[in-house]
This record gives sequence, C-alpha cells and structure tokens, in this order.
Amino acid sequence: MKSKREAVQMKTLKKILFALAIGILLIWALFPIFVMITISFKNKFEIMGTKTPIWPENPIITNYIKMWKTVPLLHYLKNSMIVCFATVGLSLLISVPASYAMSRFHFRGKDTYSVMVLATQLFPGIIMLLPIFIMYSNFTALTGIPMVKTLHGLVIAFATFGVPYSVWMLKSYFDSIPNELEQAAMIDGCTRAKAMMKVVMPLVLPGIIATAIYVFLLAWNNIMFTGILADQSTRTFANGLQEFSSENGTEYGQLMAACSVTTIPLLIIFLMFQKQFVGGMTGGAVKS
Amino acid sequence: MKKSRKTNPYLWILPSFICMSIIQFFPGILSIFMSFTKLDVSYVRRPFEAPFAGLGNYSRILQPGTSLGNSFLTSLMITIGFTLASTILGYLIGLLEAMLLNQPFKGRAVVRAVFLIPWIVPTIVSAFCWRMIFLRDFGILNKLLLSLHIIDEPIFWMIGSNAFLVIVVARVWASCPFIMISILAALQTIPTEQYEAAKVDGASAWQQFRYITMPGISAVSKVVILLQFIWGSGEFTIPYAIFNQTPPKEANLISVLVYSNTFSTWDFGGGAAVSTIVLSIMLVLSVFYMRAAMRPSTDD
Repeated sequence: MKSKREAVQMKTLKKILFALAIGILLIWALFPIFVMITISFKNKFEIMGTKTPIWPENPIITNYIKMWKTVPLLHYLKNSMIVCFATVGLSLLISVPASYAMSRFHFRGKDTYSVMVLATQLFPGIIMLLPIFIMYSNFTALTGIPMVKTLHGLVIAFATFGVPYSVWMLKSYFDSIPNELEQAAMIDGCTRAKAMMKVVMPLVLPGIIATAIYVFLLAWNNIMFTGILADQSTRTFANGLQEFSSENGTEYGQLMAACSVTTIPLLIIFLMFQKQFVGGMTGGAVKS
Repeated sequence: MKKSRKTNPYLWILPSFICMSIIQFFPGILSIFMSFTKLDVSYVRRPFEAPFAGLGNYSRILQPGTSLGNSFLTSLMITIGFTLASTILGYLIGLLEAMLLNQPFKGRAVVRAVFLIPWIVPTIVSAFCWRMIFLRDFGILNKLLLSLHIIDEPIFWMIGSNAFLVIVVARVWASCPFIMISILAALQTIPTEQYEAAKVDGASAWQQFRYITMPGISAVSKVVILLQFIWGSGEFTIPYAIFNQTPPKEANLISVLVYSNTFSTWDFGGGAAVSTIVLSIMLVLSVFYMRAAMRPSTDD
C-alpha cells in the first residue's frame, strides 16, 4: 500500500515540476514581448517613474500616433519592404536551381561546391563589410552605376548572404521528393527544368516558404550593412528604430510602439505558416 | 538517359557560384589583402595602390598602447567568453525545451509555438526590449526585483561585468528556439519502443537519457553547437542596439569594435587585420571541433 501511495506522490510531484518548468520557460519566451507591448501603451511618466507598476495603469495610444512623425517610419518601412521582398525573390531565384542540382545531379566538383557553400558560413559579416563598401565604391567609379546608398546595393548583398543556407535547406527538401516524379514527367516530354517547375516545385512549396521567411528575416534584421551602405533616403526600418534616441534622450514609448508594429505582423504570419517553417528549419539545418 | 544528358548541372549552380564568389569569397580575400596594407579613406577608390604595411597592422593591434591595441585583446576575450557562454546556456535551455515538448501533454502545440516566438522577433527589436528590461532607473527587471523586495537598491545591469551578462541573456533568448526545434526533430526520430524496453529492463531515467536520448541527438547537437558558435562569434546587433551604439568594454564584441573603429577613424587596414585574426581563430577552432566531434561522414 505504502509503495503505491509513494508512487502516486512521485507522479504528482513530477507533474508539478513539469508544469513549473513549462511555466517558467513560457515566461522566459514571452517576457520581452510583454515588456514591449506594455511599455508601448505607457505615457512618459509611467515609463520613467521608478515606483510605477510594470503594466500600464492608464493605457494610451499616443505613442502609436506620434511615432510616425518623430521618425519617418513609413518611408523606412517602404524601403525595408522593397529590400526584403526583392532579396527573397533574388535569393530564391539563385538558390532553387542550385539546390535542385545538388539534390538531383552528380557532377564533378560537387563536393568542392558544397564545401564552398558551408565555408561561407564561417565568414563573419564584419569581414565582408569593408571590402564590399570598397567594391561598391569602385564599381560606381568604373561604370557610373550607383551602388552605395542604393536599395539594389543592399538587395544584392543580402540575397547572396541568404544563398548558402537556402541551398542547404532546399536541398534536403528536394531530397525528400522521389526522383521518379520528374522521370515520369520527362518521359511525357517535359524538359528537366519544366519537370522541376511543374511537378516538384508545388511539392516543395513548404520548403520554399520556410526558406523565404529565413531570407526575409535575414534582410529585415540587418543593421550592420544598412548602417554603412544606406543613407537617409535608403535607410531601412531596423536602422530607423535607432533614431528614436537623440541628444534629448530616447522616446521609449514610441520606440516600443514602433517595435510592436513591426513584430506583431511578423508573428501573425509566422503562426500561420508555423508548420512549414518548422519543417523547413529542421529539414535543412539538421540531418543526422 | 538522353534527356538527362542535355541538362548541364553547372548551369544550375552557376548563378549561386558567381554570387558567392563576388559577394562573399572575393571580399573575404580582399579583406586579408587589406590587412597587409595602409589602406585608409584616401585609397578607397584605388585599394590596390595602398602602400604595403607588412605586418604593421598586426603588430599595432597586438601592441597595447595604441587605440586599437588597447581594446582588441579585451574584445577578443569577451567575444570568446560570450560565444561559449551563450552557446552552452542556449543549448541547455533548448535541450530542456525540446525534452519537455517531446512528452505528450495538453496544449503542446501552443507551447511549442510560444517557445518559437524569439526566433521570429527581429534581433534589433528584442535588443531594444532587453534595454528596457535592464536599464537601471526604470528598467522592468529592477522594478520587479524592488517590488518583490529581493533587492533594496537598483542594480547597474548595463555597466561592468553585468553588461556581459546582459548580452549573453539576449543572445541565449534569441538562439534557443533554433536549438530547441533542431533537437526536437531528432528526439522524435527515436522510437518510443526503445524507452519502453529500457523501462522493462529497469533502466533509471538517467540511464535512459544517457544511453537512448544522448546517442539519438548527438549528431544534431554537434551541428547545432557548431552553427551557434560561428553565428555567436559574429554577433553585432545585440551589443550595438542594447547599449545604443557604444557598449562598455565588457560587452564590446569584435564586430562592434571593428565597425565603430573603422568607420570613425577610416582605418581600414587595422579593421581588416582584426577581422582576419578572428576569421583565422574561427577557422582553426571549427576545423579542430569538426575533427574531434564529427567523424568524416560518407553521406553525399
């Protein structure tokens, strides 16, 4: 009898510990988001006060209205959107054929190529920043095509940064699709390219979406390259956020409101595509 | 067979090859070249005419007393410590999350989605959130600790060795979803029968972990740890944004050091030398790690 009761007690204890661990980790994951949203609804006195509670006592929405005037956010948002979508498009255009070839064809130099793809991951961003700045400047001097301080300059750099990981992720997606599908289409008279577009692409769409989200975030997150390669007119949103700090102090409420405005749409999109995204991340990054 | 001979695989990889060569490999090589020259702002338009400096930039960096020399070694140590600490902590939290999620329970899908949220929050946004949390006077953490009477005086989180803690916490938060989801995927490939059989044989929870779970996730873990190490060592946004562009020396990671030094003094040669040293260290460490952790794999 006693041992049975002990076993039941053990089980309850385990359950409590389990719930506790989940609870703590949930708070850990959500805490910064909670801080961001609550502060965005606070007025200056509530933010700067040392004795005020951590939630907004008198929620206001002025931060969400004023922020557009304090910093030309709409302009930066437009720049970011152009850069990010163009980056995703270009990056996929480059990495889809490459990853397909990696998955389907055997060719001389394939191993060298895949080492090359992996080796790019070793380069810290900072090592490429100065040379790219110099290369862009010289390209402009030679051809007259502006590169520094342009949106397409950013797109070319970010799209390339996205390529290696995208090739890696997409390759494993193509690996999971049986080759017989294209063979059948090709017997019916399709070319390899056509078979890929018509038959395989719809099946790897989840992988494409996951890759697209990854590349989008890569471009969206960057402040190192945009800080140097962009100017006032081509500045992106992530960089623009820093403008809430000036000599007169930081507009914390507006900063958090601007952060919320960018993050919440991303979160909604992510939750919608969560399944594909998870599949894509694990399919590409980890293949044991 | 005829059809497949028509398609030339090199054409398929050519665009990616060209892009990576021009935007990643050439700049990498150019950077190494620059590190041996006295390249400053006057040579930006003619980088190959910059005077040769030999090892001048390197000796300048490694010599205390110069502006770069003073900060370089500290920054290097901080970067290594930061990378190690955040990789280990991130791995442990990610592992815990994955193991919890591998159990069936009500609301598991929701919990998993919440655990993944940090992955999607832009790093710059989370960095600003951490600043709001760790500020001394009206930071949320001090407010919370004061109101719970855990501390009597607000703590200076953003200066001294606490600043190091702040960037580690921010990095761990941002990196654990990737680690979690990678390990979870591996955990789910372990057949549950193995655990049942072990239980029948009377294996303890630790033994089950040691002899079933650990072998099942070791391959994934090695890759994930390597990636975290490489990505962590290049971290820029977290210290740069949390400390409003001027981190204290305890949080001044190499990327920030090179960035702020190069573009304020236009000392491209010195910056390139720092980058080259870091790249070499990472290269050596990665190769060493791969030799030790991963046996040469035979898969394609």
